[in-house]
Amino acid sequence: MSTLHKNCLAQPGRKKVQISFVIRDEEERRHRAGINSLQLDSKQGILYSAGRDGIIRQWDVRDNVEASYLRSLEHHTDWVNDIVLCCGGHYLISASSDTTVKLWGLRKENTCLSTLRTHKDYVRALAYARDKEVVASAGLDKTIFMWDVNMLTTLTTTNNTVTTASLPGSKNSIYSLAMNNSGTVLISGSTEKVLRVWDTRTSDCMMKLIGHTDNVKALVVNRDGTQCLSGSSDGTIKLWSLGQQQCIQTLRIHKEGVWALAATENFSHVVSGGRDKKIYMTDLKNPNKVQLICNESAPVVKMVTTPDMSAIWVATSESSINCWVSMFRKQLNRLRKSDETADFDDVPTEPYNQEPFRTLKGAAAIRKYHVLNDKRTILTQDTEKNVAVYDVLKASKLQDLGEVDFDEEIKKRHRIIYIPNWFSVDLKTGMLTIHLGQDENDCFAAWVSAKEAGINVTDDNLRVNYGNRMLRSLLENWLNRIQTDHGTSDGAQSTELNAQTKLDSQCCRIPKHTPLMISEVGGRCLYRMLVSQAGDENDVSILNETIPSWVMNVIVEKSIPKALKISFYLVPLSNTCIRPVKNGTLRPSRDRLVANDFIQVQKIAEYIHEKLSENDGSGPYNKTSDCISNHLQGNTPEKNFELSCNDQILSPTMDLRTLKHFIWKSSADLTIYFKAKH
Amino acid sequence: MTVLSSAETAEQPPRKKLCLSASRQLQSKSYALSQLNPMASPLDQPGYSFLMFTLPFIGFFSMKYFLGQVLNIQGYRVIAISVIFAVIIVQLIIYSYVKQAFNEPVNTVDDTDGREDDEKEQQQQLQQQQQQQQINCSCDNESNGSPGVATLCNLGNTCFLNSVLYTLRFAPSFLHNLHHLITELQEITGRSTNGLKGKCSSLGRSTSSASSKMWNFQSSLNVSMNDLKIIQVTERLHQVFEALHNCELKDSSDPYQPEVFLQSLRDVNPIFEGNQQHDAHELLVCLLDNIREGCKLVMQHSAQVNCFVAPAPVIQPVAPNKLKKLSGQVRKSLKIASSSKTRPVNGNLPPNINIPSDKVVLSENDNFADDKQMYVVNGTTNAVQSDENESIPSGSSSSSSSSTSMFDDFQGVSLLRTTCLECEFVTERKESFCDICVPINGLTNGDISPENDFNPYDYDSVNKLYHSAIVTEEYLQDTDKYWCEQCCRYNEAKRSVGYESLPRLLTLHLKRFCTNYRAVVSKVNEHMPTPLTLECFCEECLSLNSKQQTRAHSYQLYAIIMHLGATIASGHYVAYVKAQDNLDEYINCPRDRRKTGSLSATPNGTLPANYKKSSISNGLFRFLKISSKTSSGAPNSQSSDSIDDSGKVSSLGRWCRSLECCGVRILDNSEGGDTMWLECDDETVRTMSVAQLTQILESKSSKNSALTPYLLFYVKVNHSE
Repeated sequence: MSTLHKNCLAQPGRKKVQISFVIRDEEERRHRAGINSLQLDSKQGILYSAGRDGIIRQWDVRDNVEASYLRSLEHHTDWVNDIVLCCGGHYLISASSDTTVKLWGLRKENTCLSTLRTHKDYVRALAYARDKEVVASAGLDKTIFMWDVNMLTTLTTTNNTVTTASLPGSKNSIYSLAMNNSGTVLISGSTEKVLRVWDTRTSDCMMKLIGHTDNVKALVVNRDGTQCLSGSSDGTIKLWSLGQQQCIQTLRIHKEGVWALAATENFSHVVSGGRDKKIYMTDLKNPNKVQLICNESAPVVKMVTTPDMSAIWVATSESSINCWVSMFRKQLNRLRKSDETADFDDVPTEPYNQEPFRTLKGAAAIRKYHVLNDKRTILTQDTEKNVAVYDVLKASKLQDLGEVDFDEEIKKRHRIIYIPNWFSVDLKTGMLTIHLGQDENDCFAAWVSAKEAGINVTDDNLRVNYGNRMLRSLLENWLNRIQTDHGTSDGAQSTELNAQTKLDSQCCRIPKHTPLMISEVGGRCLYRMLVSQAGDENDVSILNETIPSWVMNVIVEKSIPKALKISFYLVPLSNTCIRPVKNGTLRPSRDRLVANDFIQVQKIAEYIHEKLSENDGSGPYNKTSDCISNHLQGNTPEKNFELSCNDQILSPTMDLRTLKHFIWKSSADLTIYFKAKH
Repeated sequence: MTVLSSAETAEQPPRKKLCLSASRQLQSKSYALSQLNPMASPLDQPGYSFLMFTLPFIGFFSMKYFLGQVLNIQGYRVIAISVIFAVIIVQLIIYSYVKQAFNEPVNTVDDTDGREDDEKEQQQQLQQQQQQQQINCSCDNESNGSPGVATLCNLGNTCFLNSVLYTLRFAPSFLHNLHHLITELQEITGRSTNGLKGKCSSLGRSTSSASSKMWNFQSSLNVSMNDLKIIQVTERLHQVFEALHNCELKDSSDPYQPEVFLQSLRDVNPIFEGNQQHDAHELLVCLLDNIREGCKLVMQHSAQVNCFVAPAPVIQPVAPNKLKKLSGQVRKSLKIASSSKTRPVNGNLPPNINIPSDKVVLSENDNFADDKQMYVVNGTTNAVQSDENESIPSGSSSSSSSSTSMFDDFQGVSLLRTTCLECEFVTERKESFCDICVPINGLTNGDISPENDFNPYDYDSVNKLYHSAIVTEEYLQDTDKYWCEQCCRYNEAKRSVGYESLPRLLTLHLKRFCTNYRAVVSKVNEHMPTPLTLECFCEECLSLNSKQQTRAHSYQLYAIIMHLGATIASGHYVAYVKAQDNLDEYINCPRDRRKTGSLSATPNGTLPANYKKSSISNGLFRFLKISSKTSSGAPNSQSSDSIDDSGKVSSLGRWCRSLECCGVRILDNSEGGDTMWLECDDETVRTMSVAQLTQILESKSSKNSALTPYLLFYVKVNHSE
């Protein structure tokens, strides 16, 4: 069974496409959130870690050298769930929740060589057959694909068609995969609670191993593919004989789900870790011999061991990676002779290690956020309870507040201003990801006066649209590029362009390293690049294809959606001498007016002033006495009139939507009262 | 009124079972008459019917002859005038009937305005008539194997009602609990029950007058109008059972008409309006809802009462003279005579509150004592107490314990667990439920088909079938992922439904309908085996089972409501109930507040007047005789044994009074040690053995005339160590 896979960009289909960016430092040397997978190149002494922040990092972990960060592999836009090293450490294959599988070159390039978009849902697990250089990937879309690594490495941008074998038939989401070195047997674990064993030659499911009562999250198969170990969320580890097609041993060591397994080549010992944060080493020949290796601080997600099993690198749902030693480490062994030989009736409680042997420190992940009323400042709190302030328009952190009360800080920074939402925030990677256009109208809803936006201009009436500005500055390089390409550089337009750029640069200053993602709403990533790369030859053509039409319309065709209008009634207070009139007669009804929602109260005062000045009876108001006329001279309009709503006197700088949202508090039409000041 | 009832009967489609409120002997004749003339009186005599058949015709033809021959008038006017003349004769006959029937002047027969004025008298007469009929009627049902259980009349499409009523009647402890709930409710509403109850229990159509009487009390109570309506339904339900009890006492085989009850049900829930067919399950839910509201009310009340009660237990029956002295300090549910308005009493009552002592009665007194006195509960300080009401534990006071457990009998707690598959963090949500919906389609052809061959007669596999249908597990995946708070993202999740606790009386609702792609609802007629014993599937039992231990409880089938019919829109309901005697629960009932064990304490007026003549003790003796008879026939019946022990007159005082009020009559014709089942199909109740029942349950009926189990009722059995 084989399907033809075209390794190209999926065209945005009917699904809505959004544009996102991540607010981060240029170089993120430490993991931000949990770590989902590890690979160890013991020859080179390099540890590869796949983080939930979407970044694969390389660490120098050679003996006798201080463990240190080497570099990052960045191209995934969501959790990286699994990685495998292949071709003796020349290539790395990664599977991610952005539904892609990526191939990375490690020797020279350290970049992403190709992206495989065959999966339709999160790719959860990978398996590698060293002898055949075959990698299998599987995920929540219930399918398994087999990839020939040698073929993947020859892919170029022009020759990008891969033939892949798929193993269909699984009815449930696959959470774990294992393949023996010769690639003859492939085992998958899923929420079906059974292990399916596949024959990779015929792509048939050979058998089902029934016994677990919950999801199977960890699998190890031995070299010749005769035995396998499975760790399940039901808390058990089972040793299966594939020949007998049955479970030959069940280990109940963990109190909660078993998420990670590592075994010696000959299946003499197994190391297991899981949700209960404990790592045990069990002698499979003598299952009573259980050694507690360590107590981790968070649920154990993945473990890799050195070939001699003396050290175990442990990834947890926290961002630090610890290395723990086992009793196979000879020099420490003699100190604990008694432990090693002892038989345990009960699971031991005293761990072999108190402190990790080595640690690769991680950074804190953002867990909580609050978008302030100005709709550009975001307060965040991370796992270490530190509070920070971010500015969306500048795509950067403004301030670290340290360990302060999050809710207090929100209260402190609360302002009475109402601006509609124009973006949404995502914290899944532990960093702030801002999505634009999850709802198309949303993105361009925020019209703000230039003053409010922090632009230094003389024109008071200048308004900016946050969404428009943001998109323009995110795609600035690309815009410049296509405008020069089209040769539309006649005088008038270029001056306009300059003015726009000036405005953009004043309003939004996006760091060039900011990653920019174009993805389907709630799912697949279509394209990722850095803001600085947007003008590159290669990227321009891809961007032309992928940029959604709603962005095109606005920033290229410049048809910005109109600002929202608010209708309101303007009513003179009864104790004043102003009466509404129509065509010269007194009118009891109120005056219904419509204005842009960002109009400020002083504009309304000006309007009243203007209308009252038309003292010929044709205006909408009739002054019954001369008292007003005196006021109309000299003073500025906002000093002449006092406007109120719901018995609150309005500040002249308040805009209509703020007034409606905070003072009127109703969806009905606003009613504003005015009277002349005395 | 009587005229009206016949007219209604005439309008009923012939399919429905007729239910004339008049005598049985005359049924056919009056029916024939009523077809001819909707205004016919049921008080018919052969002479009158003869007259009715002859006189109008004679009048018609003689008039025609007179006009044609004597006056020489031709054409249609002759016919018209003759017809008018004949009609006048008919009217005259009717007039004379009615006059004779009521022995009182009636202005015009079809004067509807005058009807209301005479309503009361008419009702009383009707009542008397009915009683007479009930007494006079010989037990002609005995011949068709009737077990002597009182039957319910189909009022036209009311098999849904009857099947549920039969089921509830035979639900273990239901009657007993209901009785005490009613007693407590009546205490709360402060209503004297005597006159009203006596009337309603046997009266056919006293709704309007009874309810109008009832609303009079409402103004002085702190019970809302809606609450009162709800209480009324529950009371009427009780009255139905009371009436059935009375029927059994009298060996009357006349089916009882639960019309009053149906009427008050319609008052509360408009969906039962009209003579439509209804879902028995909907009715059950509605009834249980009402009972729950009643329980809540009792609980609220007892919570309020508890606010007055000092920690020390309250005095038991107090003599009237003592009472006057106490009145200054009385804290517990002071009852003030109806003439005075409800007195607001603060929670921290000053010790010397000034209450006219002659009007104060302690609640411990028999509340049936004086029907002229209206009791008002001094619970008007709700502002303080309403918040606490919900949190008051059910067993907080002896008076509240019974009714609060009443609804708990039907209520279990389900547990909805959502587990994120990534971090495996579990979110739990608890919900209370009254019945469990068991899906049928997709189940028989789903998981269980080929792999472990399913045997519908095998106990284990049937239980497994139910277990897998009830304790479900589903995955939130694909586009329907779950937002995990821990992971800050959408992940797959497992959502499982479990049961933290299951009620004592468990109701399974087989989902016998499905919606196809055209949104047409159709009935699922697939066979679903009905286990007589169901293994418990609460959390506790499942964990015990997984540890290879025996489960803590199991469930025994006590009733089934079967649906007969190929479509969901129409059909017939038949209830099958287990005939078991629950007499042991009536012994030494802690909720019975009767002071002495003497039989004279039977509440006045709860039994019809004619019944009083034939001494009450006689009635109870009959119960005992019957029960001892059954127990000798059924030696393994534990409950009967205990009755034998206590079945002496001296120990009568230990029996709860509710047995005499609305208890189920013990079957006198059960043979052998087998438990008997009753097939209750409206007016006909048949006994059957377990074997016969299982035969019915196992028969895979054809698609067209499918008799399928619809509601299954189980009672919990605790496995004692």
